[in-house]
Amino acid sequence: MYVYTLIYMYTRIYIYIAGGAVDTVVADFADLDSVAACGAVLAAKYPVIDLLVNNAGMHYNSNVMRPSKSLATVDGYDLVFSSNYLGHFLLTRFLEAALHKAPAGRLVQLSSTYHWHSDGTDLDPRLNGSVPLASVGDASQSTLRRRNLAYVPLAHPPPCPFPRACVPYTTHLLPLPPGMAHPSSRRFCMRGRSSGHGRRTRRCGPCRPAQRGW
Amino acid sequence: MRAVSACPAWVVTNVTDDQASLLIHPFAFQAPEGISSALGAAFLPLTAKQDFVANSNLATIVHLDLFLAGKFATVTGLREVLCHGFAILLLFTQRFTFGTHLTRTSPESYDLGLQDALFQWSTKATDPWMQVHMAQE
Repeated sequence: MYVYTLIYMYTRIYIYIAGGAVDTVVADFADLDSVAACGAVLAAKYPVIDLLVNNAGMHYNSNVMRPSKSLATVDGYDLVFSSNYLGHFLLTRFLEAALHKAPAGRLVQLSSTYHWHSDGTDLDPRLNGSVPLASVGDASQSTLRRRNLAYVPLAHPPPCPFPRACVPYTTHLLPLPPGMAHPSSRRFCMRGRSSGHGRRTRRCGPCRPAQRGW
Repeated sequence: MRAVSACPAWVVTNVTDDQASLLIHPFAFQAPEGISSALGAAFLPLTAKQDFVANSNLATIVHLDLFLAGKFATVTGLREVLCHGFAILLLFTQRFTFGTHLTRTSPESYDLGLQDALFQWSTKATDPWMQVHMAQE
């Protein structure tokens, strides 16, 4: 813990000396209220965003997979689905206008080659009564828990929030291979430059480099 | 605006349990290597057909598209087994195939019908939060 605090402080000082600045806003991607609050703050503070890196992600480990554990978020969605996909979707909607204002705005979604594992059927709302099966957070269904594992690689599904502007579509996949992420890593990191304020680097959420390979 | 996804492959983190760490850490990338695909996705010039940046090109070398994306592999469950095998193979070989590789994702990723359906669903699911934000403004 102290190591991370030192790294965080060192990073802030390094960026400050380099002429930049760090701004921190914390969000829990398993809680869409939290994501919306974060998105509203960022959208208000930064009219132009050059780069949005959606880095948060998680994977069920053996503890979380215990039947007694609830896999649903406060919003009723599956924990991985909300943390890895829907939270990012909502945040990006908030920041969409700012990204479009940048001359060469770019959205980077951390994902995984492991997405080949899934054929995407768990994400298709047309196959499950207009709701993607991956979004259902119900720990009582053992079959679903297995399916959760199956869809994890595609928990960040293809459609970006800009259906027409984003050509070609890109895949939004799980940030890390299985076993590499943990619920405690439900954090995201955003870096970019605000308009009219010179070179600025900002970080949203307690992005811990060592936790996510950053 | 351009959207790109990135795969860091296996990277040393502190979120794995001790037993997994013993196996993973000797072979996984360290942070400076792991971050390269994300930086590539952020800053490298990309052609229209490049929307995925990976730290290893093993998927291209072994032609995942040939034996994983077919209906036979999907229906029989072979896809699941082979993909787990690929993940293990990647762990042990990723250092030999390290680089910033610009590539494409699985064929299903480009299913426009799936994309549109999920996009519409996601938009509807997140509309309440957007509407609250609009009302506050």
